[in-house]
Amino acid sequence: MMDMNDALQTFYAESEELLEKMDSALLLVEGGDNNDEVLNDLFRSAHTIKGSAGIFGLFHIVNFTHIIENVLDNVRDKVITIDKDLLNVLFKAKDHMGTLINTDIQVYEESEELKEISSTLHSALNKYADIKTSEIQLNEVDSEINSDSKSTNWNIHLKLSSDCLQNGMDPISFINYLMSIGTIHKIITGMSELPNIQDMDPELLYFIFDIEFESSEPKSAIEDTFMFVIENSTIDIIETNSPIKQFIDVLITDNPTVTQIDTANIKQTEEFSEKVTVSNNDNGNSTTTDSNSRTKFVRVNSERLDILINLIGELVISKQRVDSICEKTKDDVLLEAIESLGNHTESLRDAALDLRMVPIGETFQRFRRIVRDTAQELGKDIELTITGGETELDRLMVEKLTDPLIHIVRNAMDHGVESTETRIEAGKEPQGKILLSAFHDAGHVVIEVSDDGGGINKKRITEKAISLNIIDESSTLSDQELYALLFHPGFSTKEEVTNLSGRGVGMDVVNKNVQALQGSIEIESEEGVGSKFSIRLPLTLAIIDGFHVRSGSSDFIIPQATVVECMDLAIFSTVDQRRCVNLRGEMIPYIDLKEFFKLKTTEPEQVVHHKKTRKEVVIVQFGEERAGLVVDDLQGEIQTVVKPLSSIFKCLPGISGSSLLGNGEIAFILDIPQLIEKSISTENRPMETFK
Amino acid sequence: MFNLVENDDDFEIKINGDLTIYNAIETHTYFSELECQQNKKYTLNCEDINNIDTSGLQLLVAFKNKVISNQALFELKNIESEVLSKINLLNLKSELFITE
Repeated sequence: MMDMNDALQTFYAESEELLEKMDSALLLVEGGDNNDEVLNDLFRSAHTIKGSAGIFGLFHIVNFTHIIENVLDNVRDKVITIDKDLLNVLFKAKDHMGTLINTDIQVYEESEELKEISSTLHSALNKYADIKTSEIQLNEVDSEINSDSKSTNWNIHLKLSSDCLQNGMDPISFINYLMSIGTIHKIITGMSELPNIQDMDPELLYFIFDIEFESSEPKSAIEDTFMFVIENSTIDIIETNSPIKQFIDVLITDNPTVTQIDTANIKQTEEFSEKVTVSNNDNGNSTTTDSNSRTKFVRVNSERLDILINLIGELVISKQRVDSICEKTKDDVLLEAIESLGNHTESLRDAALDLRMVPIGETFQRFRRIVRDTAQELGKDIELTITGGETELDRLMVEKLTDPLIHIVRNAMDHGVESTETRIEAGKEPQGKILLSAFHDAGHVVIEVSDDGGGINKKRITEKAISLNIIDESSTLSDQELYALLFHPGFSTKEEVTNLSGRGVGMDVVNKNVQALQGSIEIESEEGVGSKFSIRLPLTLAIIDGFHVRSGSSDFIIPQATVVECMDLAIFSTVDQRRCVNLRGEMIPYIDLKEFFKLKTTEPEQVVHHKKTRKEVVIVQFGEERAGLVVDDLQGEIQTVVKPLSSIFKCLPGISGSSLLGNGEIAFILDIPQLIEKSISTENRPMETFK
Repeated sequence: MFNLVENDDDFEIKINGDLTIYNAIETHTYFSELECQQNKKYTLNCEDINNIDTSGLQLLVAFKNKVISNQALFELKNIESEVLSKINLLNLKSELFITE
């Protein structure tokens, strides 16, 4: 019932977005792009965080952010310009805002360290804000704003959502906050909706407020005060001297002149009314046709989306069960209806999964700051270029991908990109380059981190691997096998351990994290030219389109996006007794699932002998690599709800997950990258089972 | 949370705790069930109320309405400064018959 927590969660989520926005704006300013729009964005982000924090009584955030806001206001008004020193202070102040947002006010009050940081940053900002740190008190903020000559008088009519008290939102908090951004001249508390005590629900709000308010803040800032209660509330903010207000006054006072208002005036008033309503619509108060032309967003708790996806997963499984039952009936009408149901289920699944897709660009933008700070720390000059930020990926994957990406980018900056001096000596541009890009490729998302640094030193990897007894001196490894050693636990070629990378504890974790997302990492490198780390991931982990095959008595699902084609294995002649087939001139290694998983045939041997000796081969592709999977039967396309593997199967190679079929049987989802790798590595082994 | 003391023609109700959304149901139940007698005076002793929110203020106004509709008298006494500041903020002093 009491759900202040929900509102606070919204505040945290919005603040995080606003802080990211501030980061991006500061980076733009640092890059010389300090136009009015960027500076306004910066100011507004700080201002909104301050306003929201005030509503929740988080005055440690309000007080700290207020001085940042003052500095940014001076920047907007061209009183001061942002130099390098101020920029560094603003970056630190923005980071500290993030810390304060994540720190409980009581913890803050008891933390001398946090207060010390606040104080130091206040002092640093003070010279740009032209106010003393000791003066940063809410009441003084009030008087300072009030003394502004540009203030405007407003009439605010508040009929807040009746359940706002239950949601932990007390109108008194909003009124208190209004006092911090202006002066309240009068409040009339309306009680016309307050019922008899016997009839009232004590947890609902009945009071209505009319406030005469004066402030130098723009209307949008006053509207922001109520951003957490806009749903089901009526909030009218009207300038005192506006024609609409005068008209309303006339109506309220029941002045006889009202009858003299001509139709033209009424029409004008209607237009004003419409504008007021549309303005409220920006905050989602009510709906009108005008607002329909704009894209609207609804903030939904991600857990609710996860529940929806899980339910649709269950629906898909149920649908498959209905499919298998209906097929037995041979009832055409029923089968037709089921087919239609299937199409709708598929559309519903796609639409639901689409809800969880987010552009990777939001995550990429964080790297601008990471690269900036890391470059400063390393004393290197590095430029980050981002492409493909609009590429969408499942939100769950994006969250899990951030840490591995940070590690790869930091590694590239620390190990890859050389110092300016070394680059000049090598005839390169003094400024190093990191490219972060994303794009779709054959049902997967590929994220690449490339640098124009010194490349991977293969000799050093070999020496290190030998010294760690990972390989022996006689080992002959391909480039890919050599680079794969970088993912070995504890492997690092960097002689000097820095606090950024080089401890050898990162890349193996990076690889494991990516594999846990059903992805893979590929490395390309050329000494002296640079390196490229490509992470290949499925679009989603929840429900996939699969291709159902059988081998022995077991069911398998091949992710549909990896299937190239299927054919009868008998049409191929084996090549030099190797485990590969010649597909239109391309030599493709294959693996027999029955042999690989050591499967038995459930049916008596004589039946098998008469029934079927024919085998099928499914050609699959992951990245640039192809392989064939030899199976007994092709069952066809199927929607697959991915379930995690139980611990018994986790150690089984070639399996990435499981799924429930419509008939209740379990099918294993094949780990295609692993099977392709296996088929390539066993290509030259003598043939045993298949002839 | 509520102590009712009868003195001659008056009733004094001592409220031992805050009047906020957290105990709004309990407060509502008490105020709703309390029978108001004509021509009696009902005084709410607020000395132990340190905090009040809008739900508490609504209940005070609703209870006052009930008292006066029963042709009885209503009074608030010993109002703590924190509570008084909220009453002032919402401009409810005259509504709650606070004269001081």
